[in-house]
Amino acid sequence: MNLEVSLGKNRFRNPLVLASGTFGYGLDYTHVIDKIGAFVTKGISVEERYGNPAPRIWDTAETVVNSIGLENVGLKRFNEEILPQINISAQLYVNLAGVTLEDFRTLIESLKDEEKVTGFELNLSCPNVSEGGTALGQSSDRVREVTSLARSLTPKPIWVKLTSNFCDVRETSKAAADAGADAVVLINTLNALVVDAKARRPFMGAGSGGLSGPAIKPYVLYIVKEVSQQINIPVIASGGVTSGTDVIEYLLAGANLVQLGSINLVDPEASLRILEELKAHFEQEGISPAGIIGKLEEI
Amino acid sequence: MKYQPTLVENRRLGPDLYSLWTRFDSPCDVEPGQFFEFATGVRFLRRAFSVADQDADRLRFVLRVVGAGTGWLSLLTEGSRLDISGPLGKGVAVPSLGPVMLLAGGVGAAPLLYLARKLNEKGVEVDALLAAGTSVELILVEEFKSLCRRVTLATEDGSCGEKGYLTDVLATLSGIHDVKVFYTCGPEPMLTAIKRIGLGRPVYAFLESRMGCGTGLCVGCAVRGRDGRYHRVCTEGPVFNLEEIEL
Repeated sequence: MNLEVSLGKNRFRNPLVLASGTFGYGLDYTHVIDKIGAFVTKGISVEERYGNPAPRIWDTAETVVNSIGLENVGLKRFNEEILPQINISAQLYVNLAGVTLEDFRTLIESLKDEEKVTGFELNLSCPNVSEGGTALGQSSDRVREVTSLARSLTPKPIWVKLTSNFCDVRETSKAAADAGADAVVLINTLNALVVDAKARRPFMGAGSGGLSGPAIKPYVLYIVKEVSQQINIPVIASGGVTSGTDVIEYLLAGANLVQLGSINLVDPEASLRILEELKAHFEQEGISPAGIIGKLEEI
Repeated sequence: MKYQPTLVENRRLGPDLYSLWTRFDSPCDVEPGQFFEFATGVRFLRRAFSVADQDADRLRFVLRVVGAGTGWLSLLTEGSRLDISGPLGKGVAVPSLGPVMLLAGGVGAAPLLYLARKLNEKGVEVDALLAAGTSVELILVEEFKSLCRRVTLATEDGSCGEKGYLTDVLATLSGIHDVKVFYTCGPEPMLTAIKRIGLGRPVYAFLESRMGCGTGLCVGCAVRGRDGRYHRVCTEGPVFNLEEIEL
């Protein structure tokens, strides 16, 4: 069964992508990564980040709130210790967690000539850092600025991961498209506050966190449908996928690729199950993923 | 690895405390400190429990009900199939030289029991100090007695054994001068108190943490190290030298 999907001249063996921050650096569970279309690394910042104090995780039946705080080894150690060890057959996208334009310049210049690196995902949307992150992604002007800079530095694919927190993601998506992004990733986690009523204080160690999981899927489906109809570059969906059916829903809504995030925390091999479910669906229907993208019928 | 063991016994040990014996298709190789992640029908993420004991193809887990996920597990009836993954985490290298002393607070007795079992199999002498708030929260006492040279009990309210916190009782114990290494598991204030008194010998702490994935991927279960960096309880741990971590 051919599950291939193309983004421009870039071909993916299936529409599944392992989302940043939910699958480490690509050194573990490589038997899973090797079956998936693309893998996105944990966000890499210029300097090493130690991350947020505990607790960092909270959940209900259908949601996860995390506040990891972009803990990562930093660019130098990523280059010297991690990258040489990465040995995967899936396309490798490095998630770049910059705060300033200079950060993004440093990150891209350091990584753009690495053969292993297929492309970049610009993280303009992390809710768990006090500076940069979401703030960048909330302003169309800033999104345009960072994306233009990235575009000027490398011909490699550039995905721009956006937020819908306190901003119009239709406008920021257009800004990314205008500035030469190859795709937008919709969406990063939603701002979330968990309250410890007994202690009368926020539960998460950092005060707040980012909401993900199946509960946000209908919300993200709506955004994917709206935005994909309004921009001329592909949309990569990210929000609460736990099954093959969820992936199909996102393809119908207009996504070209679909990221898997929170479900990896439940079972690091969940994406293999989802892939099997996709295969079964497309075999049964006698169509390909590419054939249903954006084909949601109007009421 | 994923397993679907059968729940063969679910017994209440005390207030909100349950002992679950599970039967696997074949014996499972587990080191003390290692844990399994349990799917529950009511929470998105799995819940982590250390192995408390082993008997051929059966593994024992002890859980304390703290929320919906653990509550759901505590209500499972015998014969139920569980959906679990593991063993996860770095196990303890069981020392060959004793005596070893185990310092348990409340449900922290569970993973230490399995270590006591392994020490006993190796012929290493082991002592245990089991502490809890009150007598009904002291668990696994008979099991420890069958494996240890000496078992001391302590409760904060004096309802069983010595009266006082674990560290108070530890300070009054004679005959611990020959102990080579301590292992402890319990609430954070207890670990902090143990660290503060300084035992002059290595103390390894089995840490409990709110985990995301249990596999190292999400970095959700971080504990701060002495160097300021965070370490993953699920991957670098769950057992740490008490001196190496900040509580």
